[in-house]
Amino acid sequence: MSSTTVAVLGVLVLLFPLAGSLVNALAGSRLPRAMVNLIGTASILAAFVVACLMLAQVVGAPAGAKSASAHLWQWIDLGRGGLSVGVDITLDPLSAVMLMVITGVGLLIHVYSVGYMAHDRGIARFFSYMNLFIFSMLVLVLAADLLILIIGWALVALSSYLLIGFWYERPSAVLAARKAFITQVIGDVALVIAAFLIVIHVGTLSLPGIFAAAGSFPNSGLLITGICSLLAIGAFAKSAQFPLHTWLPDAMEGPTPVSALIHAATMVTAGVYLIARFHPLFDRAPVAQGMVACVGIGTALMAGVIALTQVDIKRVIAYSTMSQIGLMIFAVGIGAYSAAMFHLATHAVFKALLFMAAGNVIHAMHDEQDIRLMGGLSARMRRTELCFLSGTFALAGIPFFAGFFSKEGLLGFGLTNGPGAVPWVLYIVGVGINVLTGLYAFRLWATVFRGEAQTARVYAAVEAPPIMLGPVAILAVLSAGLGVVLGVWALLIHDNFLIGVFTRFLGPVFTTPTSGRVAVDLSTFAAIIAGTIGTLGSLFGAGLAARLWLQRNPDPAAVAARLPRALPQLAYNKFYFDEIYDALLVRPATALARSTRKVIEPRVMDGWIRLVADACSELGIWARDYQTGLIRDYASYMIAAAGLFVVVTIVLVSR
Amino acid sequence: MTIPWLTVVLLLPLAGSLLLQVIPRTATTLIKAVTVTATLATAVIVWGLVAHMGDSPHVAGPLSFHYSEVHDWIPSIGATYHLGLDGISAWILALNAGVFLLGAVLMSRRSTDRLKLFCGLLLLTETMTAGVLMSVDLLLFYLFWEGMLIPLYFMLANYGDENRGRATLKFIIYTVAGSLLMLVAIISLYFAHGAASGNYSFDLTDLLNGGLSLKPLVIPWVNVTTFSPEQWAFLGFATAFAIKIPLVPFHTWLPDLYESAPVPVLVFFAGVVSKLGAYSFIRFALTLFPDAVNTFKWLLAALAVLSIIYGALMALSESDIKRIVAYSSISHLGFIALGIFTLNINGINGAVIQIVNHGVIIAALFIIVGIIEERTGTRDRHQLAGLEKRMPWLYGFFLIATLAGLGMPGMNSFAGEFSIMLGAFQLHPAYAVVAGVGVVLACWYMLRLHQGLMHEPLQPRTERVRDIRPGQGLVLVPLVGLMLLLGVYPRPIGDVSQVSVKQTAALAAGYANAIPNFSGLGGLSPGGTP
Repeated sequence: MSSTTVAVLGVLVLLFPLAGSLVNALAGSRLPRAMVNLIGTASILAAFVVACLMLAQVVGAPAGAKSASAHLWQWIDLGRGGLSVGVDITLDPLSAVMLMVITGVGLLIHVYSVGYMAHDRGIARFFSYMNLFIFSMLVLVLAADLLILIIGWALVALSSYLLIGFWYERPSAVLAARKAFITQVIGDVALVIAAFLIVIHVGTLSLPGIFAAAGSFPNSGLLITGICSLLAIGAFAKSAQFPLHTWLPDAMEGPTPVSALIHAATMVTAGVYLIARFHPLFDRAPVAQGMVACVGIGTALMAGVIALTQVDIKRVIAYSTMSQIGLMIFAVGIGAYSAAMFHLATHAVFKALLFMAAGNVIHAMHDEQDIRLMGGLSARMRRTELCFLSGTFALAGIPFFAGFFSKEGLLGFGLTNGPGAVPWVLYIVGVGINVLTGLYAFRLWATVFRGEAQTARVYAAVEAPPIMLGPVAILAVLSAGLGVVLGVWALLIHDNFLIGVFTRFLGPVFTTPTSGRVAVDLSTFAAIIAGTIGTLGSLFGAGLAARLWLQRNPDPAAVAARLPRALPQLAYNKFYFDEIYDALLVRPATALARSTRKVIEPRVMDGWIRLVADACSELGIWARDYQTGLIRDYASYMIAAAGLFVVVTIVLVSR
Repeated sequence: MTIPWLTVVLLLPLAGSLLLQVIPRTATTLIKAVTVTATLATAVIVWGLVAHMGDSPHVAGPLSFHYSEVHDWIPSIGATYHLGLDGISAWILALNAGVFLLGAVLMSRRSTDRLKLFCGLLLLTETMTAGVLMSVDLLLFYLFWEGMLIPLYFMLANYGDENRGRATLKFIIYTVAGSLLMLVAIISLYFAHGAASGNYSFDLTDLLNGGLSLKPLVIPWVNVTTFSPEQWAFLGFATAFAIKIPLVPFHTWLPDLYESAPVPVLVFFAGVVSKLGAYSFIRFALTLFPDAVNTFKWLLAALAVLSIIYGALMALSESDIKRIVAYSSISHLGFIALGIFTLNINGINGAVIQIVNHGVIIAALFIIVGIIEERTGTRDRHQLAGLEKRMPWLYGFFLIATLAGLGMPGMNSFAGEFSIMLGAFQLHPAYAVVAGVGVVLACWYMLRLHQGLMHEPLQPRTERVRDIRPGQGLVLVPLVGLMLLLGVYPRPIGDVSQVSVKQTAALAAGYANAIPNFSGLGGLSPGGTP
């Protein structure tokens, strides 16, 4: 794998989506709809083909040479002692996995969008933004320099902003877009400050340079802990983790394909990618790692509880996304990078599937998103239901679906390798999350597709057209079969059954000499027991959901009534984070801004200058009184002045 | 014989201005043609000079100029006609030529009363600002610095909305008050240097070569040492430049003036005139007063950070779209000032890069806001909404300008702000952190402005507006193009500026004639001084 190959393929994979975005942005309004659709999807197809070539390059490269970088151009160079940044890209197993997820899932979602957005007038704008997103995401994962990574990181946030606010005539969408962007910028600032600490200590922002110097940081020292904590804050903002998580549910204001692509499959997993990418630093900062793991599992738990109480179909899936990403963040926090990346890939498949299937439902229900008004859709949308069910099984981690392999893998890792003195505490929480996942996943399916139809609109629902059903079906097959195929493959080639292929593929990235951790063999007895208990938890959750929402025995409403009133209330209102932030941050800032304009600017800032001006005119008015025009007054001034002069001179001379 | 290009750059607009005086007032087409031609010719020459910067030999010394011209001016007092162009002034001069060209083009596209007067004043202003950017002699610099106010006064007092008289008066008095302090400082510097070295001169290079041995000033009887004369002189310069930048709390002239001034004036006023304070700080205050500047850098950096936050808060609460842009400008100039006061190469380079970037951005923002006001008849953001539907092309331009304005990575201002904040971090992390809060606030107020105007359902005022004409688009295309181009490739500015910035940083650190040894990779020590 030569540097030239990387440069050519890298530029190509970036260029196609960028060109598609530009053409649709500049000329799309004058092109026929079919042409716009073609440009929008063909550009991603081309990128996908190139990405496959890149994957082939990595797979075909000899062991020990799985990674190659290319220097495209010099971004800035301020000479010795100054900032120097190159636009460098890198291809290694980690970026190859991300490339496949982004372009592969992205392609299916683009095709799906042709159907979903068929009646929207802003189709050119839509595809322009979507292609821009793919481009940004590719910049992010290909970047071999922290500053270029930050550019991709911010461009991703920009395209997310544009797409959340796509229906810009809705005030709620406009606000949601702004909220998402500002949260992202908070994360950006954290990343930028982390970059400052890195460049001051290491002297370079290039990723290979940083990782090569990772050993020079004192293990678990203050500096490395600070850098990793700041990187983690950036990751939390992007991946919607506590305390920067409130934007993700609101982001559901965007069209459903956007939710599938950006707010489920790719962008929100960028935080996981970032921490995995910076693992040489995180491995030396156990305190930051522990913080990441706790935040991840805490967010997973919180989002799982909230998901159980929401009634908007997209918001339920959004909270389940937050929860699943929490698990990935937990995994990277305990050093289970391969397991996290594996779950990232499978999650991208089944979560995009769930969103697009939900999109079919929303389409059929004429933009109705409240699950209380659905029910019984299974009779009308059999195929969509089957696909949805495949995603639900994968999400809940039912054995032999994709999510099973990845989720139980990372939980097994957690038991043996978690942070702190008692890693099994977090593992128990993890099993609890498994139960929750089973509950909310099957609750959604049961409420939407089973039971009695709640409104007349259900009877008018029709199955989605093939262009929307096709991509969903492909993902459904993948989510049912991906785990099995990879598992069998692993069994045939290697000896290890669980996540073997992924671990081996990503191995060159994550085993570095600087890594302070001992790799844990997942085929150990403890890990298998842990995985089994986790699976039992998932099955228990699924079974409980079936009893509650399918058989209604006991009735879920009755169960909720037996709980203390505050609990479902808290969960339904998302633990009041929006209200708390509004009271603590937004209101004080606007109040400060208003008082600055009303009081400080006119009274203080303009006041002091007016005081000076007034003093000058007062002085003039005072002096005017001495301009009497009388000779005797002037003569007395002269005598007084002369006397003063003499006195001062005498005093000065005599000193 | 080589052509004295700097003098040509200086005199070309002036010649255009004189030529206008023989053209009859009614020949508007000819007046416009002369104005645009003069600014265009100047721009081509300046851009050519900047493009060939690398080819020219460097003149050794504490400050080396790529191009310089020295002639006697008033030999009896040691004042020289010394023009110079180095890496710091080069791109700013290029910006200067660009925004005046833009102002002239904008002027030529609208019908104005007393067009001839306006065009003459515009060209005269360009000569003055170019003079400020190229003067190496302090007296010559002061002449241009004050001379700039004359055409600006007539332009601002004659064109604009009804509040222009008051706003202009405020601006002029503010500026002159600061300038007089600077004049006192220049004269005291002149005598102090002359007494110490025997060489009475206003030339910056002379002043830098001889030592300034100023005795501390003692108040009689009390025996308290006050600021040293060097510090007093520095404060004189600093006040003049702080008013011009402007730093909070010297800023109140700016919003009023920007609100009342017409857009073609704003393009070059906000674009370059307000940057002259920042430029002059780098050129004179940092080099002449290393001790004083190191004493006061904490305070000045704190004022810069205050400007960032204060401007952002004001932009967040204003409802007049022109004033929002004006306050955003105060916030952004706070970033530039912060970069200067870090005294290290990252900060100063960032400031130079950001001066150019911000000139491009603010020109575009004022043009866009002007178009919106012209089309809808209001500047009140509460009456404006949903313009994206009616003006998709303007929306696109505005979006890019907004993103550039909020420091979006990938846009031009990111390179400058990143470098400035890195420099600030080296000075003290707290400055960078507070500036980071400013970045978040910038995102908030820029999006509030952009979304407020462009999104949500249409309002009565915006129901019937039409999109921009191709001609207006053509004015915006180069600006927006630069925002994108300098975002992915900001290197050219840094390449030109870095040698001169290194010299300036060395002088500011108190190492005349020596570039301090920045030790490679690990050398980015806090403070930036070795």
